[in-house]
Amino acid sequence: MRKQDYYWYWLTNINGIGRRTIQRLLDIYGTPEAVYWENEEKVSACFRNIKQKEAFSMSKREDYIIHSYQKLAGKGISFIHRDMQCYPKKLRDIPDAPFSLYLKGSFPPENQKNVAVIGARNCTRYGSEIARFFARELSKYGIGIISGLARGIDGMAHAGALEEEGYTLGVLGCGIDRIYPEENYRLFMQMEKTGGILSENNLGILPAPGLFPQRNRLIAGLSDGILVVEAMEKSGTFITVDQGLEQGREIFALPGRITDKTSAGCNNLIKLGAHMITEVEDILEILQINRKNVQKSGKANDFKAGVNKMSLAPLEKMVYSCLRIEPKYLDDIINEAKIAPQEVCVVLNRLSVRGVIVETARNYYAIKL
Amino acid sequence: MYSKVLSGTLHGVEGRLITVEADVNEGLPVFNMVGFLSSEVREASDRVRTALKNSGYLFPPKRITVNLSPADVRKEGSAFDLPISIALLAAYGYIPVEELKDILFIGELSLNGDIRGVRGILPIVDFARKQGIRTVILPYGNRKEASFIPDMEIFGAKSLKQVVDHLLQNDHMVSETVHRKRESVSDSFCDDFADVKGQKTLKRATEIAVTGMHNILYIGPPGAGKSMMAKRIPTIMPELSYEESIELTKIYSVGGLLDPEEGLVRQRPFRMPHHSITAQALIGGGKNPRPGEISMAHHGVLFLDEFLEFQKNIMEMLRQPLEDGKVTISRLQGSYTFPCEFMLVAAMNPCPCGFYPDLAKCHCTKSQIDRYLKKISQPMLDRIDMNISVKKLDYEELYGNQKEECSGMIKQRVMKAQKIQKRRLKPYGILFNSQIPSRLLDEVCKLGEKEQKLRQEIFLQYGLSARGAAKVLKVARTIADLEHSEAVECDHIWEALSYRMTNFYQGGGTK
Repeated sequence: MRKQDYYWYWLTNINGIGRRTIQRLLDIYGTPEAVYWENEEKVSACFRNIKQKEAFSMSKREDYIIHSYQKLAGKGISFIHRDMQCYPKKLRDIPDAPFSLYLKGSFPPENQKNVAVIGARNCTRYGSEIARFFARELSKYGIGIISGLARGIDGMAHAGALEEEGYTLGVLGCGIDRIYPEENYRLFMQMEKTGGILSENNLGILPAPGLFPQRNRLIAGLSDGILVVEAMEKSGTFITVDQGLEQGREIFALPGRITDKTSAGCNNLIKLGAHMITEVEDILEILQINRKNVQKSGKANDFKAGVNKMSLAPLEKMVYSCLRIEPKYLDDIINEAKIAPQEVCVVLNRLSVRGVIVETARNYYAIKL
Repeated sequence: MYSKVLSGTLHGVEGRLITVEADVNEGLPVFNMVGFLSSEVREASDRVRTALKNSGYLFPPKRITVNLSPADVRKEGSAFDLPISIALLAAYGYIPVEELKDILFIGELSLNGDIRGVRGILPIVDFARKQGIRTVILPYGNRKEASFIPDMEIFGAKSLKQVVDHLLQNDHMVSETVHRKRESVSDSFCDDFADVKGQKTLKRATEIAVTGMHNILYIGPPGAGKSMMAKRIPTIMPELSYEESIELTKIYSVGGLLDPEEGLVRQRPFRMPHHSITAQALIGGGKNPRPGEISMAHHGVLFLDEFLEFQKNIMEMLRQPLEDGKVTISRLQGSYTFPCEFMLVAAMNPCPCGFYPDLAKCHCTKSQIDRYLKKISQPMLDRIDMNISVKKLDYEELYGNQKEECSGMIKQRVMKAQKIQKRRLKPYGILFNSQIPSRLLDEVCKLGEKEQKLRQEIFLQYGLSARGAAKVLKVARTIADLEHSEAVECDHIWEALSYRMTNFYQGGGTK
């Protein structure tokens, strides 16, 4: 532990002393080290209440600070502060940049373009499929996928990037060691190895509503463009979008049907001037990505052409043509295909073993992008 | 003077013979009864004394001792009134003792000497026959039920006086004719498969489940037709065989649920206990154990609607009976075994509000759904072979003019396939594909090379467990039987996959 790390770790981990107070202290004294050695009486003048004063005077326990720092290292978590080389440049530029970060895995390489793929937690199957599809396709061009490791769109975006073994970073609103939500356990494990998990909070901090807007500013800060896949009219997603705008990031939005509540937010964004995205190309163009080295990526709207190439038997083609991205119940497929139930079952299971379609819930089938 | 009369009692669903001895002696006038008696048997003394007096038989005050043997079997119920009074009459010399030899007496007395019906007649009479007894005098109300035991002379008596007259050969009662042959079975089901519109998946899966007696779980929103379908399952099951009928009648007789006019249970049972049921009522129990709902559903259907609303410990109790086809209840006096080979049909909603994956209606969060589905345990799911979703019908389907197949036609197919099954499984001592133990699976469901490859493929692709794969194979075997195919082919396995048990909802609803 270097001396500098020690002072930064101390200053950013005092209970009750937040970013604003730290900023005030640094404005006056310059470095954490200076704050540490300054006369306590003098420093106390910067505090707003007695609680902060008490916490501050209790905080300079060297053995405790070192022990807690070592605990982090033992868990493979690195502590990163603003004076370090590896602190991402993109973050340094945003207003209200974080003083310190906790990281498992690695930061995105500095010269890599990143896209944040975000959206509602309570998404439809259409949303989650599209998120996975875009994340996967963008990964093919070496674009890093950044999201919040939440339920719904976020998780699917990470999963899509991992499918292509691309870089993906998850930014948490809770402590760095918390796996929340639990259903994303596998993603956490995988991303630690091949991507990164980032948080502004030290070990053990529970997820609280107030922490998520903070996290969103990091998501926006680290990325070059923000793709909103599905969002209701009022959604936490817009905090990220607002911060992205403030930071000068590109905003991409996927259009949806005007009757779909889950797409109302996206449509609003487009109305307000966000880029409307209908294929992966759109994003590549805006971000000026070199497309030469990579074979042309698939389009979400011509997946049917792709399936034609897969040489399906006539019966399979017929059943396949009855399917959509939205899951469909077995009986509806049977009625539409007008084939005996047992034959439809046979074909559906064959297709799903081949990975062309997926059974989203018992006896509900959907196309896989 | 001493006399001896035969009677019987119940032990589970089996009968036991009881000897009633009476002795009348000089001494202080007391009425003593011994022989491990429960309070209702003790009360018999008052009923007997009054009934005898009101039937016109006089009792000079003497010392009366009645013994019910064997003394180590607890005697319960009111069926000993008649044998005790006959023994007394013999002891007082009203009836010659020789007349009572090898006659079994059962019946409860009312104070005026009328004989009332009791429960559990059939097992007792059946047991008596095995012991070589050929004549039974029992309550008039129970005569039909007893008459199904062959080679027996059954006399249904209405009053004590009638019994005595018969024994003294003053006035003969007419013996009940034996109903060995099945009376024309009244197909009194008013429900029919044709009532259920559309729902092709549901019907197909149900047909397969019934054919192989596979347990099945329906998942769907309220009003989709889960219960409606379940209620119609008995209509496509083959009629009860005579042996099955007798077996069931014994259970119903012990449970006291027999229709006195019908005598025999002729319809496949369909039991639908409410989810507030207690463990004793479901499994069987009580101080002197009586069969529970699972035994009442023997050879039929046990339908558990709102499966997740049942108390968890009660659901878990189903595990062992589902496996063994019988349930054993242990009590101080001994253990009682009730048969319970039933088909379990369970129905549940996919989420707390019931509408998932229809996101227009369902607002349950992922964790709410997870918590809801966690109520059902994995070992319980392991005992259910099939699982399908049910969806509410569209308007066109509900009110369209489409012709639906009636139960009769489906029943024909089921019967044919069951016949094939029984022929194949006979050497192994089982009847249905669902009962194939895993060690015999490879032998009974021989797979060709292509099929084995497919099994490997799906095993890996779907991450099936050994048990899961076995269940798929069993269901595929049943599908093959329905198609009269000797071998299990690829298409049968493919179709069976659609009915396998999954961890229901991997996410993604419809708008």
